Amino acid sequence: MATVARVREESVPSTRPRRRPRGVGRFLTLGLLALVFLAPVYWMASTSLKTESDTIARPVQWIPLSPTLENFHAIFASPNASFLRWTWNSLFTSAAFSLLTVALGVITAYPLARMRFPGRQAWFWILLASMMVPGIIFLVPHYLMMIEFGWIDTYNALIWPGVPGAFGVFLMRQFLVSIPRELEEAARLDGANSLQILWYVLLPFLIAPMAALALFSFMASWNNYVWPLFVVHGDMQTLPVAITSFSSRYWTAYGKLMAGTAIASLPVMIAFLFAQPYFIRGMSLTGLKDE
Amino acid sequence: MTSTHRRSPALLRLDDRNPLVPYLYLLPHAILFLVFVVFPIGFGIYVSVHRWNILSDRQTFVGLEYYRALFTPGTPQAAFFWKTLLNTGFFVAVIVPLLIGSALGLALLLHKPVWGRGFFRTVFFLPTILAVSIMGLLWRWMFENGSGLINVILERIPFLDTVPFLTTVGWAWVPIIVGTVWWTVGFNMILYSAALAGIPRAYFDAAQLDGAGSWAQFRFVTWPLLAPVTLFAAITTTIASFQLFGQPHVITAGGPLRTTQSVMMYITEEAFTNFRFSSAAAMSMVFGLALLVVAVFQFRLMFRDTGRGNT
Amino acid sequence: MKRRISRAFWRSVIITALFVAGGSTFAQRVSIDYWHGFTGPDLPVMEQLVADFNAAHPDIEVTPQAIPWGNLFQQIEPSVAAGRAPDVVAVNEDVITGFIMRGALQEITQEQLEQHSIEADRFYDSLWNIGMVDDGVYGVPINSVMLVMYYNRALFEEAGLDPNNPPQDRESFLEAARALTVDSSGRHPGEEGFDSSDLEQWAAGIPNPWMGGTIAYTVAAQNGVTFVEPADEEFPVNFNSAEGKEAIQFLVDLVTEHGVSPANATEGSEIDAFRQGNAAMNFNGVWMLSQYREQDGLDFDVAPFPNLGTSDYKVWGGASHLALPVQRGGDEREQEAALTFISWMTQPEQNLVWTSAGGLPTQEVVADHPDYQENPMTAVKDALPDTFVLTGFPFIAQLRAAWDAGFEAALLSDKSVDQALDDAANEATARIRDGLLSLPAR
Repeated sequence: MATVARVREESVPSTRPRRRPRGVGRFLTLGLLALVFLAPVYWMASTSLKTESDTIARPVQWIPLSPTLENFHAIFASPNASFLRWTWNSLFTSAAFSLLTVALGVITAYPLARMRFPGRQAWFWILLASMMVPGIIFLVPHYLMMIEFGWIDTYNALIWPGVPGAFGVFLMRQFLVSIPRELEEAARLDGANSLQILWYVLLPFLIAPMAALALFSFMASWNNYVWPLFVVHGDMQTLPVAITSFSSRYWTAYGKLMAGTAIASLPVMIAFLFAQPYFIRGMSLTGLKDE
Repeated sequence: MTSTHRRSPALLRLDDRNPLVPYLYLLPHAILFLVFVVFPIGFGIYVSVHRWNILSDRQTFVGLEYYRALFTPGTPQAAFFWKTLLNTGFFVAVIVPLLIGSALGLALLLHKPVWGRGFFRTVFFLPTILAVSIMGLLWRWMFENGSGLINVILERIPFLDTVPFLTTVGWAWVPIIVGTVWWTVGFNMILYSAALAGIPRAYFDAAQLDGAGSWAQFRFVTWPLLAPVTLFAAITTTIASFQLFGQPHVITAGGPLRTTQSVMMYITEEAFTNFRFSSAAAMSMVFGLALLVVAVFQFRLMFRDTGRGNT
Repeated sequence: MKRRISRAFWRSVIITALFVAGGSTFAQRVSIDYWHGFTGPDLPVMEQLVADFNAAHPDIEVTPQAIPWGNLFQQIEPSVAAGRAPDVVAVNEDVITGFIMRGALQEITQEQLEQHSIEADRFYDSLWNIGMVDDGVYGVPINSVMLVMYYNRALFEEAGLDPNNPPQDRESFLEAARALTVDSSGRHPGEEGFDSSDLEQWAAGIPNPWMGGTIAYTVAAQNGVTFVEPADEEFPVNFNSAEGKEAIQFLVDLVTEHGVSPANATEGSEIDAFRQGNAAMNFNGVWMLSQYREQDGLDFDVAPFPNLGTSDYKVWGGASHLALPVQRGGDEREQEAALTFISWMTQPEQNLVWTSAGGLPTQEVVADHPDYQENPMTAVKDALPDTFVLTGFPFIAQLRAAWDAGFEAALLSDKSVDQALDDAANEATARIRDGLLSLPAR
């Protein structure tokens, strides 16, 4: 509970009553840094609106002199840029991965946190220890397993191998452990079975951590790069991987390259601007980085 | 109820007092865990001592041949594995202090109210949600030898010359490191911001009463109080940085002369381009073992922290 | 009773109809997958050809998938092993022998070739032989490419050179290169105070990794280097001979001695510089044609890569073949459809369409076709018989990787030319030894 309480406290500053702005120096420093941070995004947008000849023109065009949507048009017209398909692959596999991670996390953490049975400690330690095994160990064996299963170029390959990672179980257990026993006892006296207790009594306490876990599992799967790079191809690719193989077609056609990059990144950035408070709260809540 | 109780043994009961119930909850995850976590570890070792050919039904046992090659000077594997491991180590050594320092700097700048604070925080955090490929393409174009924005600017500054960043030994790290800081500094910044917000004002007030300037306040109040966060951030950043792959893969493709190739890139090259899965498995084991040392450290730290109910 | 009969009657009618309809579509239409790596400016042409094939063959549905070459080659063996291989795949000259010898591609029998009228003698011999191992045919040529020289006509005229007569040997190349190279204060190489680190305009950049390796490969071949002794079972590497080193030294000298190429050039920066009019010449593949044509105000032409070596003329060539991956429990009808597709795609008519994307003719009929004479690439047609395609042994990609790395090390002055090539030869030898172990016993 301590963690939950602290998180509330931490998310307060933004709602603290506004003071009079102070520190012009700090403001200017931050402003300059913000400019630097936004430069690549601006340069992407600007390049994507130029004709190919203008992208490398001298003197450089800070603002496109003859802005055009030609690059975007060319990309959508080209037969092998399946942006919708790639986006769907990413959405579907990330959502499935996220749901499975949360569901398995809760169900597995439940007995580990709130039941007594032989082997409980041992299993918990095994799961915990597995979190230390570096991911690189799994690359080759997982890949050869995908070949055996016939899962190369399938959603299965993108979803399943990562699902039993122990982090979700570990996180859910930490929150389940901190819920007072009395609530459960009362429900049990009323004749509730273990599933009912989980569903009606414990789950309401887990909404916030579950949402955070779901969000970060989703992001981790969405941004996964090494695994999908090798295990799926062509139409089955996820968006972040597809954008690099797509880019190999346009590696010196900067206008189209940046138009493709914009198509792949702007929706994500816009979604982030809406979901931003949850991100930051979720990060503090789980104390995890998106890796 | 009582009759059922007497007649059926505990294991056949259909209610919660059946001692198998906890195991049933564990079962779905356990199956997947065995298939995708436990089995692959053993399978990886098995593959590494064979000469694995995916087109063949029978695999030749070769013992420690692939491990030996890694420690035999003169083989391409030994040359490139250790070279790329050193590259990765260099990256970690540079990026970790950079990411800690810049994150702390940003968090401090944003700690006290300033006009547009929410906006700035959003801007600094924004890149973290992008995929590594997007970040790589953006910075490759920024640092492009001929027409990238950085060189366009350098061209205009008197006495400065353009730099072929992407293809010059040494300079090629700059786009990778700058891009990585841009991309991930937001995470640690949020961690620090949260920790800073958790420091009671009274500490600073007391220090101020004692006549401490802002540097002294930082040195003797803020920094020590942030130590646990710094340690946590340093270790998670180290682990993540050792797995370096996407940035050089997209920005420099490991060049020039493999000077920016990471060990992960070399392992995937050996597996998927050279079809030497066993050699790649052996390298994974050696590299994984090295990483394990760092991971154990992180694990102990995390466990100590969670033991206190605090992260 | 009557109602019941009629209901049963209608039900059987519907079922029969469905069965017939379904059965007939299944019987008529065969779906096959086709993977290729033509992801550049040639992609729309490839897509159009596949669409035309589908339109002309109502009984076959080809689904094309464009995958960048590197990824495609990573994918072939795993997909064969997983039983998810495509029915037709395009593979390049530097990997096809490896795939054949490792058992990823299946042989196309003489009977099948005849049945589908794929006549070997229609194609250039050098191209056709790439798809063969031990007299067995495994691939049919669909694409032929070459290293060429693009040059900026306007800059040639400015420098007082004849734009209709680009340099074709070492001597005239160096002469033209000096005339075309200017530093920021207007001096040419060899003049007092010339600053090679501050070039305003230059002849042709010698870039590193793959394209640089391809250029170096060409000059080495022009010096008579064969890279390996292909007759020998162990494939001993011989590119670190005196001739090989001379070729590399010449290219390195273009940067360090003659100052006609900027240091640290890359393929990409050279393409940009040529488009911007900073580089007067550009060495690249025939496939760059359409991008240069799109550049506003770029007045350029194409010529064969000059003979920068000391021996007979040779130039890097590449080729793509259509091949059949090994299928697990292969379906005869799919294989027939795949062969029909391969045959159709490699007919002269289709090849002529394909050349519009820059690819060179795979057969003489097309090269002589009146329509082809309009193509700018006819300028390099005469060099076709002299293409030097490294093929016929299974580790060309590994050998090239070592060669490219060696050239890069020499070009960036990381090592001396001697050292760089000797190290590269050692690496290539080790990789070939590794590769030999990976082959199934034959």
